[in-house]
Amino acid sequence: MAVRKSNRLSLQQVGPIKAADVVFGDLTVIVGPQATGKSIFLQTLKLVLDRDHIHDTFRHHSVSFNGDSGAFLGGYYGKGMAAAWNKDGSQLRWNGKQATLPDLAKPSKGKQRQEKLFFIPAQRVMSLTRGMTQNFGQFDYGDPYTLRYFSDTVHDLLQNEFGAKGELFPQPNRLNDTLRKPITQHLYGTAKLAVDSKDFTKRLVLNVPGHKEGLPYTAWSAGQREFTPLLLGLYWLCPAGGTSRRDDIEWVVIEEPEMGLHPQGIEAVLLLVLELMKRGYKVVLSTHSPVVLDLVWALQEFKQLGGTESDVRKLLNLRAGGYANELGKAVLKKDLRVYFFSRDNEVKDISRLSPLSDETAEAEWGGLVGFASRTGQVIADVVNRTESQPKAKRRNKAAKVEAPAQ
Amino acid sequence: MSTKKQGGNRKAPAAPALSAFEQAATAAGLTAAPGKSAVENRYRGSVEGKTADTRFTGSLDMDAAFKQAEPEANRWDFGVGMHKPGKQEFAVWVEPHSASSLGEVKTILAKLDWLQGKLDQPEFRQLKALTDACAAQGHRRFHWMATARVGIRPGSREANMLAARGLNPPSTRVVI
Repeated sequence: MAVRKSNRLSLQQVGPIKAADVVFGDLTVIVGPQATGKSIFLQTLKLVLDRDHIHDTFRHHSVSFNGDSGAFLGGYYGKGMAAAWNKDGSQLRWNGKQATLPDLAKPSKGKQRQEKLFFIPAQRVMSLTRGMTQNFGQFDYGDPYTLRYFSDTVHDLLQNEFGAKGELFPQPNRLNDTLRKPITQHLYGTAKLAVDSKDFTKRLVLNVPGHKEGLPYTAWSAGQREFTPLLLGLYWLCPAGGTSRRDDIEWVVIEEPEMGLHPQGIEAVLLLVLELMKRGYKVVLSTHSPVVLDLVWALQEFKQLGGTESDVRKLLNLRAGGYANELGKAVLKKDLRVYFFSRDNEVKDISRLSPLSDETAEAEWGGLVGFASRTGQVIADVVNRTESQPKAKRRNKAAKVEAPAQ
Repeated sequence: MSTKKQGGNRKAPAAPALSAFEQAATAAGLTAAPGKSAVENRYRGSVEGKTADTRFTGSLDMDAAFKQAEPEANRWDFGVGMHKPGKQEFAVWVEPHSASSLGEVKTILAKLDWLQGKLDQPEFRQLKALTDACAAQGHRRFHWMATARVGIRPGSREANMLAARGLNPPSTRVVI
């Protein structure tokens, strides 16, 4: 049996990251408070995998750094981010091989120049301005590369592949019906995502039954504005017809897939994440949503306890059927990992997510359920205290609370 | 060599005074076992005092005590008397049970109902007072000890149901 090779990225003293040693699974989720280096870490993963593709893309768009690694790092990560690398203390290893960001800031002469990792950034909503897609050149130096390139990909998709089509969602040949239904139900309702080509400009609109004109982008809900670029990115990753995936792309990073969404909307997005895994992509997510970790926890437990595809379907609220059964079987074979980024501490592997763990970081899922946990404890404290008081005293206290102010 | 015991004409030492927990158990018509010994062996080590000077003053196997009289009831498992230096003796109640689902939470709450029903009876007045003393010292009175590896996610409906009744989510150890 072939041994699956694990990929490992280690960073030390890079930006706010003290030490991160992350072994990637088929799905890797990173959690942690703001400004703990999650984005830098993910952007660095992209840089080590796609170094030459990134340099070629800049060159293609006539962006030159004249060999200035600081300028490149500012152009790639975002203005001012070159300072994240400290030549005396910072370290980077990819699969055991040492590198530096200044090295990666220069193109290599390697033959492997295809993109391997598709990055859907947290700022994806900026790829659509008033419903219009933005190309690479419409951004400025200092805007993160991952946003510029994602936006450019979506722009290309809309201008070329979907240019002639009016309706983008739902589309019968894009995504299985099992995946489309929750999107309809929780994200667009009865509205249909379409391209309005009036006035020689392609704009995304939502066609709502009974409305003559499409609903403009600015009138959409925040969740719809956040989800639509994500959907377009997923369309790009899941081509129509018999092609299951983009040939060269092995990895997909999605930052904060939950952005702007109700938990039911997040569930719909998670189904799409599982679809990416089923298609063989290695997926890396960053998240602030306990719903994402609910899914990982459940799948980890199913794997440990001999859960079946029907348990997966039950969890995802899917009816038995060819596609849903296949999806359930596929995800149970996947390797899932979770890492916790925190300020001033090493990154921790909390993959088990056990609420019974003695490690607070693991039991409280990197702080994502910390407040919920404290809420429960404080309520239990009050119940304990109240119930141990004599009944008459309890009645008096309750009466005082209920009595109107005089 | 003389086989006569030294001090053989001394009086036998007086039996140690019963702890408040043991007395309360007797008042309730039950017989307390010494220390934690009523707690099933495999769970005994998981009931601990936070400090080494915590003393276990007696224990009850409620499940066994009421099995015959109430075979169909959701009976709570164990009660343990505890004493910390300079503090009043108190009672905590421990229920080892698998921790996996909404169904289990409902079972635990049914057991808690049963136990609280008992503590509300006049003959259990002393045990109730020791239980209240536990809360007065800032400790949880009732503990669900997880016997399976699956836990309950904080913030979930299950965890909230427990909190509303004064219970923490299940843990593998009870440390007071």
